[in-house]
Amino acid sequence: MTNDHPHPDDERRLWAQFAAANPAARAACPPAIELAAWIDGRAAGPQQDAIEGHLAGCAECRDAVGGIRLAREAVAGSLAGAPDRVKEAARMLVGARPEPRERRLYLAGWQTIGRWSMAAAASVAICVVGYRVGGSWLAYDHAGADEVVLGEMSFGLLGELSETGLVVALEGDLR
Amino acid sequence: MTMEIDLDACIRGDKQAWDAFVERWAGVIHAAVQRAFHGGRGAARAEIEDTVQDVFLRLIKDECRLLRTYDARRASLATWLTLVARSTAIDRLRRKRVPTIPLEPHDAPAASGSREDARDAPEIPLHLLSGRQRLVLRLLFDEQRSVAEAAVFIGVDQQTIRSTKHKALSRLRKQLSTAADGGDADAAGPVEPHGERQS
Repeated sequence: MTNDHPHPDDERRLWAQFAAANPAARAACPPAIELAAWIDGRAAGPQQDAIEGHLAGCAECRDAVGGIRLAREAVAGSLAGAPDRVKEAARMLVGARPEPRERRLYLAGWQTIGRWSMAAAASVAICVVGYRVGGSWLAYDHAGADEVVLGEMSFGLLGELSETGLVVALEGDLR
Repeated sequence: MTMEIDLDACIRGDKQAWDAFVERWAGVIHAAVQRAFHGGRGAARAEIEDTVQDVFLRLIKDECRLLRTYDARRASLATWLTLVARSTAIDRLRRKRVPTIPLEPHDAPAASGSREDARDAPEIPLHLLSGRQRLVLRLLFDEQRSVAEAAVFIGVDQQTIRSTKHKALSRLRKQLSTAADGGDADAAGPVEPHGERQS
């Protein structure tokens, strides 16, 4: 060693030269779990050195580490905890969460079946009502004018109407 | 008091497990958020409470995507949650802040030395110093922290800080004197993570 008691300015100058030759490049910050591992002293070897190298160049992460150390002291020294309304609101979040994926798929399957069943029932109801109303109207309209069998006439008219697309659903059933 | 919280059950959407999680960790998250706000410019109580809700929401969003990243083998839940809470608070503060353009980058060389240093800087490879050595010098010289403060920051004893600083400066001196003599600029060689020379 050439100098046992170097002047602080000399040390500072050495660091300044190093820092000037290696300006901090903006690198992506490590994930929270890696930084947390380092803070807890559980990072080792290259991972530890990588985090420390990042901290040397990232003021934001240094602030975070400093803040965490202080926050942990504050938590340790505080018995107050969070206000009840904060906890209550957080508990409610789980009710507002979407259902787990499997359950959502299961429910979605039944909902689809239910919707199609409702649509089919509605179609049948419309057809039945339509047939009844249509049949009465046909009987009233033509019974006195032409002596034809109501059933045949109905089929004929329904056939014409079906071409216009009005009784498409019923047509299949009648044939 | 320690309470075992079943995080897997929380992730599955178990209401009881979630309620236990909230009961156990709301205080830690609240304190971390409060600390982050007070470290900045302070905040109204309502804002702090909204941010705490943001943290919980962030944890369970997208089928607990964030909560799933936690690994109990790597870090304590207290530290991890404090980091997440702090980061949420900082994001919120940042969104509220009026955008400004800094006159100089956060970690610009000017923070360590004069512009003259930057202009006349000799070639010194980054890997000459380990990550820890760079961090120690940054804390001591740029942030003006004492040895005791740097030790608390890194989580080591003060003697480790002194020894790391001494080794780092010795390497720099050697490197600069070699460079001044016209020798190999990288003569000192890279270092192992804790300041030891690589073989």
